[in-house]
Amino acid sequence: MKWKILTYISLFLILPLLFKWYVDSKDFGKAIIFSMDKKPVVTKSVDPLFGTETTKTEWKSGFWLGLLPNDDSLSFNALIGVLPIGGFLIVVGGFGIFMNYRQKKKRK
Amino acid sequence: MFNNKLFAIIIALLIPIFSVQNSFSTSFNLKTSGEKKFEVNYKVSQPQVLFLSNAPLEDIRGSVNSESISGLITFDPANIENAKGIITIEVKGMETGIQKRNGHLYSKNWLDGETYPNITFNLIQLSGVKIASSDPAKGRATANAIASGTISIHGKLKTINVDVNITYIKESEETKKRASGDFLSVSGKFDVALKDFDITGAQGLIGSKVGEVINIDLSLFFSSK
Repeated sequence: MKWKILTYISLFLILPLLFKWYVDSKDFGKAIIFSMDKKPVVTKSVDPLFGTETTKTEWKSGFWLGLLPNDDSLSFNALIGVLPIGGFLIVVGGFGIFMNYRQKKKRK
Repeated sequence: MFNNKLFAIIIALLIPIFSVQNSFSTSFNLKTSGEKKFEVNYKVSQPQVLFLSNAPLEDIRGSVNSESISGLITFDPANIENAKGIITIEVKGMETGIQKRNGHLYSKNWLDGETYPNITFNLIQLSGVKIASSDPAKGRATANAIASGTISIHGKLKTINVDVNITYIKESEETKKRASGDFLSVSGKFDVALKDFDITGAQGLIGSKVGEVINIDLSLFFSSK
């Protein structure tokens, strides 16, 4: 039974992960490939003096989850991405299914 | 008699020289002339340098912090072609949205910000100047031109031509609200191929995660000193 719970929990945790990626990507205005530390805030306005459109880019600090981590060093940050975390959860879920299957087989 | 002849010959020689010079000089016709020094001034408007890398894995959009952009141009509104100057961008003022990626950008494999802290564009001349509008009453004129000069990135020099839009505004009560002096704005777009500047990056990244060519989009605002 405990392996079944582990499987359900790990597979269930993938959903908020995907939801966070979806929300962050929507906020960013594009599908985020690499997790971001800053988001460009672009303000377009017409300069009354020059009569031309001016673009102002400011960077807002924060964290936006990407499919892949933005760090390639050997650190915890190198794991923060949908694919590594999601992959880990799938492996744990798969392990739970396998162990549950094994347990059932033993009982029989 | 001899003096008169000599004077006539000198005039005859000078006329074509002046005509040749005139044929290469374009004026904004704003009843103002004389070379002036123009400096990048944030009070006029915020300067903007954007860069875009298109690669199969990711598009990277970045910008340069306005404090890291400086420039000084010598410009005569009655002789636009004769403009000269230098624009400087600090490498460490470039922002890509990921702290780690900024570090990579400044590192030896990429722009090597320690050894080559600045990217510079040395404006040699403007050519192909076409006046788009000129309003002497408002003291405002715009033109399109080709800015020719040398760009230095990663310690390597390359001659480039950039299509630019120029706006000139004479000092008025309205301009004084922002800064003193005449105003000049220059905007343009151009591409930079990384291989032209011996930027090799980490192995295998150029062409997959970073584009081979970077698109630059700039808008700079100057005031005369």
